[in-house]
Amino acid sequence: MADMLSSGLSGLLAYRRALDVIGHNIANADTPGYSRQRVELGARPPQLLGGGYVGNGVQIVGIERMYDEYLTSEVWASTSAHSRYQTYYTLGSRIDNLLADPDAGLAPTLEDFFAAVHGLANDPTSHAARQVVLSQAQSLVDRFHHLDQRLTDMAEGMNDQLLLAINDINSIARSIAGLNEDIVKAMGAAGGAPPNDLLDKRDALIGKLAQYVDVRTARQDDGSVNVFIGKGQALVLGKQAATLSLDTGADSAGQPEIYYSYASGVSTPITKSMSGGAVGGIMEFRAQVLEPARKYLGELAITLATEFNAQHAKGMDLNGNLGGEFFKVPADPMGGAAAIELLIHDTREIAAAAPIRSLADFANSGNATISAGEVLDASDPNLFDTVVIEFIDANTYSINSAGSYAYTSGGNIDINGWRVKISGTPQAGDKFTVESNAGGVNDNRNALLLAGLQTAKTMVGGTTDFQGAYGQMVADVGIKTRQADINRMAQEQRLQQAEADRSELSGVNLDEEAANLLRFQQAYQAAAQVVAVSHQLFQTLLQSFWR
Amino acid sequence: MRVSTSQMHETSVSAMLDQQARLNKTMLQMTTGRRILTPSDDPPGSVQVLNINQEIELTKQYQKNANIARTALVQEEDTLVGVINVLQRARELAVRGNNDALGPDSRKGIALEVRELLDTLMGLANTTDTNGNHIFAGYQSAATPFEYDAVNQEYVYNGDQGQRLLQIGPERRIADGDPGSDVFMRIPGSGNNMFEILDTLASSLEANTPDITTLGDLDAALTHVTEIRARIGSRINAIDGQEEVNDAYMMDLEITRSDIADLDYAKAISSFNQQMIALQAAQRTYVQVQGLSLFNFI
Repeated sequence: MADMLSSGLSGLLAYRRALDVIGHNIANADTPGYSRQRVELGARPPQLLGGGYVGNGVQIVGIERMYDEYLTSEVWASTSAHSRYQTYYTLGSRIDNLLADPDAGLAPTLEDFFAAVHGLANDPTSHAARQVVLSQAQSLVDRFHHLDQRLTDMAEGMNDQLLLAINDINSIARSIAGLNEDIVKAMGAAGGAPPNDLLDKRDALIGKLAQYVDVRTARQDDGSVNVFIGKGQALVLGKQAATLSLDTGADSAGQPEIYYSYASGVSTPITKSMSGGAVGGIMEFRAQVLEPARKYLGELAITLATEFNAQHAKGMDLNGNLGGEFFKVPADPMGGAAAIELLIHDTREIAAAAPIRSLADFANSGNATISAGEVLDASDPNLFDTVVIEFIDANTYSINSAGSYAYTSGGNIDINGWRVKISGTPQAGDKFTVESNAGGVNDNRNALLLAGLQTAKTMVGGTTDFQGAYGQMVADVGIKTRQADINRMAQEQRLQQAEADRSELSGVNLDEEAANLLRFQQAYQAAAQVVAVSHQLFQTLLQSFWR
Repeated sequence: MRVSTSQMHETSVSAMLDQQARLNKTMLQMTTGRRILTPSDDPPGSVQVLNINQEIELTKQYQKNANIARTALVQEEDTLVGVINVLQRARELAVRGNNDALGPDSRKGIALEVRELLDTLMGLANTTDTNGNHIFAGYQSAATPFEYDAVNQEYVYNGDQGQRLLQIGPERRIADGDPGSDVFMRIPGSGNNMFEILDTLASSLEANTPDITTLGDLDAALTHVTEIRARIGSRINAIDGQEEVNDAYMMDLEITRSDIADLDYAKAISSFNQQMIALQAAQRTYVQVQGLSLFNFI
């Protein structure tokens, strides 16, 4: 009877504990990272009595944490991958919208600027048309500055994000190290029984870490976990955590460097080995999109300024001077879009005209005509000298009454840095003059050539124009952003699947807990009944002796 | 398979969020009328749109340039009609002055009208456009192109032989005028310029010695100016032709742009409806599933 009582009591204790665990599960049904727990029951060792071994009741073998290491590490891996593409995509869609915005992108100001140059070609004497060229040129310069500023701001913002991430990583690493210590102690105290809720807490922290970087873990026999990041750098070893630090260089938009130091040892740069997570996403976006876009924009500014200046220098302004530097040419593509400037502010200094003009003498008797002429080399010191081409006979001519040159109709005649073509049949004594175009205010030859630069294939190795090159950059950013979006969605699926898989094993199902609640409640009641019966039996026995 | 309660909740909520995001995008597309909202929606398409925009703007500019060229040519043509009238009247007067029956006084009277015509011609040759630019001065439109040099007793041209071209198509430039030297100074078939011809006519009438050769010079000048006028006419025709080409090209570009970037409303409305039904289904399922719990029966 004593055995019956003790068996009943053991049941009461065991089911009471099982109901406690169900209560704990129900309470934590919505706790992130919680793994449901289950009481493992086992029969107590039997007792050898007269007739053989008699059962001795139930005991709690352990409280099991429903957990699978592989499923959990899959959640971590997909968290890292998803966070990486999510970060990349979020950053990408910001720059993506900026570049193609009909109001904020480069394309509209580029169109307006060249439209103004066309306006100048239509009316080169107009002060208003010249003013429009200057103000549109300033708008174009401002737009280059604005775009570079926005990209720089983004770089700065990303560095702030990095700094926050690194601080968070450090604090998570310290917490994991602290938990390692607690877990080792707790397991020691319990003779090896794991402190399930501490393990969950540590796993949740590792999961949070995985949002920032790729992590790998190694479980130790004493219950602690070692955490590695990058290319095998130990972030946590037992109860010791490493420290990361960020150096953004001289300016806050500069190239950041992440340093790693363990146990107050030397700091070593590990920027290149950081992969996955938000940190990996930021670094990748920076290297693949932001920096190239900034550099490309700078190259565009350099080519535009160089080409425009070169053509402008071949023209003549309203003061009769050769065209001066129109734009300041940036020295370095990186940040070049911020360095382009408008250098001409006086409308008279826009060189719409060509510096030379050609004339046929009124007294010419042949039918030969001379082309308007073009400038090959504006730096020729004799560019403005008056040159008379006089025909000795129909096939030869002299230059300034000297020499004798063979004439070919339509052939190039290159003198003093300019080129003209005479075509037709000249007669002896026919004269053609090339002279300075001083006073040629109505000439638009250079303005036409400047306007033509809009569609000239000067970019990307001579394959496309400014707009086309800008378009390629927009496309490149768009494609990368789209790729990141596709990857992000794929990784989101993977993450959801991994979480579903883990929760299939570890998550709390309230219906299941309700069923178990009923089951253990009944078992508890039955065990209590056993105690009651054993009590009655004892009473029966006592009364039979008393009587 | 077991499904945890929180997982069930998460799954239904994220399904609703997905449906909402899709619905939101379709709604944005419908309110803007654009299929491509950001370049990443369709990178090649959005770049094509950027390039087409430039082409359209540029073609619009060519149309503007063509209009400006036409205005200038029409003004030149009007001026040349004036010149032709002057020359025709001068020719009539030359014929009348050659009449043997005329006395010196009558010839002087005719010469007076020829001098008037000469002034008119000078005025026409020094015509300015609305901006005050001389239309027959070549590049040097600021200076008065034609003057009588009293010292050397000759008519001089201060302009040059420059001719301004305007871009009216990607590969098409057209002259928006003719230098005065071509119109008034060099007259094929005559050794004189137009002013000299009229001056000689007037002088010969004043001296009562009518010169029959001026009649030939006047005819040469008339032929010359008429030819230039015909050339202007053909330039205007060329502008009209180019404008039609530009218009057709612009229309093509706009259709292409619309094909790439604009929303197909029929499609959008049908997917909007589908997405709405899907969202409603997700919401309904969520509410009903969340009501299911064994605890309700304990």
